[in-house]
Amino acid sequence: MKYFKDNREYIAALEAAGDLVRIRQEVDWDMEAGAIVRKVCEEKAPSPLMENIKDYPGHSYFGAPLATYQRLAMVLGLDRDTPVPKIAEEYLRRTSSAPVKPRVIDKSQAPCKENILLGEDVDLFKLPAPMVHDGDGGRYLCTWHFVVSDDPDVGVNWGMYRQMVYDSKTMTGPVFPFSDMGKTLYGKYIPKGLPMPFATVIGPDPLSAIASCAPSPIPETEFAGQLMGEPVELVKCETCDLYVPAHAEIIIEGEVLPDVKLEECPFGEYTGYRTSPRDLRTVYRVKCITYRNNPITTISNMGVPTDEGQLLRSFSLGLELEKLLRSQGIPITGVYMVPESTHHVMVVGVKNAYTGIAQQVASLAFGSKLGPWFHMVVVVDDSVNIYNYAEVLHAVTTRCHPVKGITVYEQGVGTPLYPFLSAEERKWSKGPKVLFDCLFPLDWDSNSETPRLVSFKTVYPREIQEKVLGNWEAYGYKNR
Amino acid sequence: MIKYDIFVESLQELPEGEEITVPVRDLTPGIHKYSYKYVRALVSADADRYPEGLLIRFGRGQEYGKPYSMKVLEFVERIPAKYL
Repeated sequence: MKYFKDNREYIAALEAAGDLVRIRQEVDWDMEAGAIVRKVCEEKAPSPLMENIKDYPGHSYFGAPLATYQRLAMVLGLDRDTPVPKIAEEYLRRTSSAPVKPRVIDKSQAPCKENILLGEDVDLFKLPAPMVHDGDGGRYLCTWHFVVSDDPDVGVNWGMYRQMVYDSKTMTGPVFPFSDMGKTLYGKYIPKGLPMPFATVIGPDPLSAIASCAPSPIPETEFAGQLMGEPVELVKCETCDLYVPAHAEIIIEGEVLPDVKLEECPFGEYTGYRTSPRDLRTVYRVKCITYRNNPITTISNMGVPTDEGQLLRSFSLGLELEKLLRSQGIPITGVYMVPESTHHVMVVGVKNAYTGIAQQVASLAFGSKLGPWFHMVVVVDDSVNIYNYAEVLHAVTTRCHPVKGITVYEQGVGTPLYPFLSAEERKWSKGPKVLFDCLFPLDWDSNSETPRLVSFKTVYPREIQEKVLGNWEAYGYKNR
Repeated sequence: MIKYDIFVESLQELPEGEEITVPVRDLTPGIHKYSYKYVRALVSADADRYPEGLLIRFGRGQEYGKPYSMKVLEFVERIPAKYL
C-alpha cells in the first residue's frame, strides 16, 4: 500500500497537489506562527511550511498537517476528492486486517538520530516551541505528536497528550486517569513511587500520527503497521528501553515524575475554548533530545473547527465505535462523528429492527473505552444519510420525542475539557451523556400512526421520479 | 520594564507588600522567553514600587490591564534533587 514514510515525503506530495504554501519570510514563534495555522484551519487553506523561524535558524514548522478530509484521503493513498464514506471504507479495510508487528532498525539507519543532545546540552528551548495562542500558559512544543509509554502488563502505548515547555528540562501536561497512559501512570508507577520512562515523538509520519490518536484496542505500533501495510520502523531510545519511529523529526526522552506536579494551562483546546483550569499537572523531566537535520516541528492549532485533532479523532472514534457495534451484532448501517461537533456527537445509523436498539447503542457507546470523549449519541434509521448534516438535524427535530426520545445518563465519565461542565464536574471528570433516539416506535401502527417521510425519493412512484429526472434539463434546469 | 507575568484566579492572590511564593514566567526576549521560575517575592499593585514589572493574567489567559511590580527575593527549585 502507498504511504508516506515521513513528513518530508508527505510535504512534497502536498506541494505537488497544490495544498502547501512555503513561507520563506521570517515568522515569529511567539504567536505569529500559531495565528497563521489558526487562520489556515478556519479557512481550510493549504498547509503552511514555515521555513524561516525567528531565533531558530535551520528549523521549520509544518502546520495543519491533516486538518482536511482531502489530506486524510491522500495519506491513505486515495484521491484527494474521495468522499468521506469511501475514506471510511478504506480505513476500515486496512484496520480490519491482521496487526503488523513493527520492525526495529539500527540507529545508524534512523534519521531521528542525526543529532543527539544529552546531559547539560539538553535544553528544550533549543527547539522552536511556538506560543500557539495569546494567553496560553506557555509554549506548547507538542501539539501534533505522540507520547510513547510502556505498561508492564499491557504493553506499548502511543497517545497524544499535550505538553507545555515549563523550563529547559521540564514539560507539563494533563494525563487523565481514564486514558491509556493514565492507567499505567496512576496504576503502576505512582503507587510504587517510580518514574515512568516516556518518549515524545514530534513530527511523526502521518499514519503513525493517525494510529496514535485512534482509540483502538490494538497496540498503536501494530495499528500503524495495519494502516501502512508493512511494519513501522522503530529505533531504540538513547536513555531508556522505549522504541520510537525512526523517521520522525524530533524525539524527547525522559521520565514522568511520580511525586511532583507543576502548573499547566490555560490552553486553547479542541473544543474551541479555553476550558480546563490552570492546575498542577503531570511533570515530564527530559534527559535527551534527538532530531533530524533541519527538523520540521509539526503544529496543530486547536480552536474552533476544524483542526486535525477534531477531524481525526472524530473519524477514528466513529469508526472504532462502528467496529464495536458490529462486533456485538447490532444491525447498524454506519457511524459518523461530526468533526464540527469537536468530536462530541456520534451519529449512528441503524436498521430499526427491534425496540430498544437506540438504548443498546448508547449504552455500549458510553460504556466503552471511547465513551469519555463524547457525550451525545444520535440514533437514526436507514432512511437518513448519516453524513448529511441537514438530514440528521431534520431527524432530530422531527423524530426525537422531547420526553420519551431523550435519555440522560447523569453519571458518565467525561473530560475536564467539556466547556459546559461546572468547575466541580471538571475536577472529577464527571461526564453526563445524552441519547437522542430518532427512531419511530415500532409499536405504532405503521399504516395509521407512523408518519411517512415526504421527499422526492419517498413519495413518488419510481416511474414519475425517472420521468422528472429524465426531463430535468428539458424543463430548463441544469443537472447537478 | 516588564520582566515577568503571572496567572491568578483573583487579584487577592497578590497581597500588597507581603512575601509570597509563586510561579512566574520570564518574559525576557530570546529563546528562553516564557520559561517558568518559582520565586519567593514581594509584589505591589504600584508598578513603580519594586524593580521588576509584573503582568497579570487570569485563569483563562485574559490580561489584566494594569501592571504590578515585583521584587524577587529568591528563586526556588521545586523539582526534587534526585531528579536534577
